[in-house]
Amino acid sequence: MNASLVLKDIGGFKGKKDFSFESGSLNLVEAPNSGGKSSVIKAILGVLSVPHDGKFEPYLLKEAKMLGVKSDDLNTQEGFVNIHSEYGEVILTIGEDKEIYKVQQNGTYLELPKHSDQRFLLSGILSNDTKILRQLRHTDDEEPDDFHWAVTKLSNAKNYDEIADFIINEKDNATKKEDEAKNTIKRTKNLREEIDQHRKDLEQITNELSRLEPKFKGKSDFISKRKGIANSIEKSNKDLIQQHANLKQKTDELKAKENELVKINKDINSFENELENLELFDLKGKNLNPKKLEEIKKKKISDINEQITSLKDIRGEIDGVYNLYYLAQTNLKDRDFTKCPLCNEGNLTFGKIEIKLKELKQKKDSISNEIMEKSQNIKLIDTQISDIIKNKENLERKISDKKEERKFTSDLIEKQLRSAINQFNETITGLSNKLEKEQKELQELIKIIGSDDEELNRVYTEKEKQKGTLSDKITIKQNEIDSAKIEINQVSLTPDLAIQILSKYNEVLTELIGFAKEMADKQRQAAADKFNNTIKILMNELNFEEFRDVKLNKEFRLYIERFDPKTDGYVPQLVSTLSTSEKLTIALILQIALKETYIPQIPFLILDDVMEDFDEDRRNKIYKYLSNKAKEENWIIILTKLVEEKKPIHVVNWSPT
Amino acid sequence: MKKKDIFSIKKQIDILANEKRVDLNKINNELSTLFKTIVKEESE
Repeated sequence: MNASLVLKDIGGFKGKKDFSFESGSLNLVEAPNSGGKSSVIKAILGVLSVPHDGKFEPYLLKEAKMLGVKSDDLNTQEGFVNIHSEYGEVILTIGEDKEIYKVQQNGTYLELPKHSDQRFLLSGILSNDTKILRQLRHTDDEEPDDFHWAVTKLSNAKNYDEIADFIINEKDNATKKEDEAKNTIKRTKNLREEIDQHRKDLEQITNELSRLEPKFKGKSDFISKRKGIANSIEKSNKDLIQQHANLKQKTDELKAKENELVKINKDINSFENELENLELFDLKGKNLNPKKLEEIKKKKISDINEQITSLKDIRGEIDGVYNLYYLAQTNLKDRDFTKCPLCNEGNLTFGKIEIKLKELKQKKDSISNEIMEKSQNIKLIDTQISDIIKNKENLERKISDKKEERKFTSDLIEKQLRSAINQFNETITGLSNKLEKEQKELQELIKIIGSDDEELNRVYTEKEKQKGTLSDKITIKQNEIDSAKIEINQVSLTPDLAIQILSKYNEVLTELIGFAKEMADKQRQAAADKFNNTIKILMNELNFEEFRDVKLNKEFRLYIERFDPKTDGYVPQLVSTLSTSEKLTIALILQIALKETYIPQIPFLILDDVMEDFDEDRRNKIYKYLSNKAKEENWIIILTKLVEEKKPIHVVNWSPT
Repeated sequence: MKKKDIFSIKKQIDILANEKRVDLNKINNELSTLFKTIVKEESE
C-alpha cells in the first residue's frame, strides 16, 4: 500500500508537484536549503489534520499555527498556499482512499479532508516546532515534565472534563437561583412583619378617631362646611389660574392669526401686481385672453408667411441667374474664355464667373437663413402664447387660493378666537366674583368655630389621612408577597417550592459532576497506562542503555531513570537536566508512544529535520528501529534530510544496510 | 428522582463524551428534562 501526494500551488511550489511514498519503509525527503521540504511536510500535515468542518479545538489550533497549517494574525496568507496563487490543493491517495484539501490564499476552505484527525499535530510529527520538543526544551508554556495535556487533550478525558465544567456551571446558576429564592423568602417575611405593624398602627388610629369624634358635637356641621368652602376656594383659585392660561393662549393664537392675515394680503397684492404686469403683443394683464391672442397670432403668422413668400420669390430669381452662371462655368471648363452668348461681345472668363457664382450663392444662403428664421418665429409665437397663458393661469390660481385662505383665517379670527376670548373673560369675571363671596363666607365661619376646634379638625383630618396611607401600604405589600415568584428554566415557582426543587436538582447535578470527573480521571489513567506501556516496549526495542523506566507518574509528570556510572546503578533524572541529544531521544520515544496510543489508524509518522541532531550510533539504532516498525505496522515513515547538492526535491526509500 | 433516571443521564454523558466533539446542547437538553422531572415530582 503506497501513498501518492500531489501538491498544487502549495508553499514554495508553483503548479503541480507529485511525490510517492512507500509503506513499510523509510521515505527520505531530500532537498537542499529552501528546496521545498517544509512545503511537503505542511501539505501532509494539512491533509491529515484539518478537521472535516475546518474547526480546530483551541488547544490544537495553537499547534496548527505553530506548524504553519493555519494562519494567525502575523501570517495572513495561511502559510500554506503559494504566494502567487489564489488557492492551493493537496491530494493524498493511500490505496483506494483519496483525501483532498483545498484552501484559498486568505484561509477560506474550498474542500476539506474527510478522515483527518487534528490530534495528528500533537501525535504524528516530531520537529523542532512540535509540542514535545518545545516542552522538553522549555520554550513552551508548560513545565518540561508536565504531560497532563498528553492524557487529557488527546483522550476522551477532554470531553468528560468539558461536560463536567458545563454541569458545574449549571450548578452555579442553580445555586444562585436558590440564593435568590432564600432572599425572596427573607424579604416576604420582612414584608409580613411590616404588614402586621401597619395593622397595629391602623387599629390605634381608628381608636383615636373614634375618641375624637364626640368632641365635634355641636360644631361639626360648621367645621364640615368650612372644610367644604376651603376646598371650593382652592378649586376656584385653580380654575381661575387655568382660565387665565387659556385666555393667554387664545390671545397669542389671535395675534399669530392676525399676522398671518397681513402676510396673506401682501401675497395677494404681490400676485395681482405680477398678473397686471404680464405682457405679450401689446396686450397686458387681464386683457391677455386666449381668444384675442389667437387673433393676433393668426395676423402675425399671416404677415410672416407673406414675408417668407416674398423672400422665396427673390431667392427664386437669384437661383435662375445662378443656374445660368453655373451652366456657363460648366461649359467653360476646358476653355480660358469665350464671348458673351447674349450680346456676343466681350469675354467671359472662368475666374469672373466663379466670383459671381460665389456672390450669388452667398445671397441665396442669406435669404434661406432669413426664411428659416421667419419659420422659427412662427413656432416661437406658439410657445410665447402657451407660456404667457400658463403664467396667467398660475397667478390667477395662486390669487384664488390665497383669497380662500384669507377667508378661512378671517372666519377663524372672528368666529372662534374672538368669541373664545370673550367667553374666557366672562368666566374669569364670574370666578373672581364667586371667589370673593366664598372668602367672605369663610371668614365668618372661622369666627363662629374658633381656633381650638380648628386645631381639633386639623388633627382629625391628619389621622384620617394616615389611615388611608396605611391601608394603601398594606395592599401594596400584600401584592408584593402574593406575586413573589422565582423564574427557572422558563418555570415560575413560589420561593418555597423553588428551594425544595433546587435542592434536589443540585443534589443530582453534584452526582453527575462526580461521575463526569471520575470518568475523565479514568480516561486519563487509561491513556497514561497505554502510553507508559508503549514507552516500555519502545525502550526495549531501541535498547537505549542509559535510560530506564521512562514513564508518566501518577500526576502525569515525566519520570526518567538514568544510568549513573558513579554508583553503577540507575537514578532519577530531572527533565531539565537532560542534554540536548538526550532530550531529542526522549522526545522521539514520547512522540512514537503518542502516535501509537492515539492515532494508530493513521499510517503516517513524520520526523522533520531532527535526525541529523542525533549522534551517529543512536541515529543508526533509530533508523533500524523505524525501518522494522514500518515493516511490522505497514507505516509510511517520512523523514526529511538536508543535502548539499543542488538536486531538486526527491524521495528516496531507505533501508538499513 | 429515580436511580434509573440518573443512570440514563450518565449513559447519555458516556455516549456524548465518546463523540469526536461534545455537543453541549444535548447535555443542556438532558439537564432541562431532569429539572422539569424534579419540578413535576415535587409539585405533586
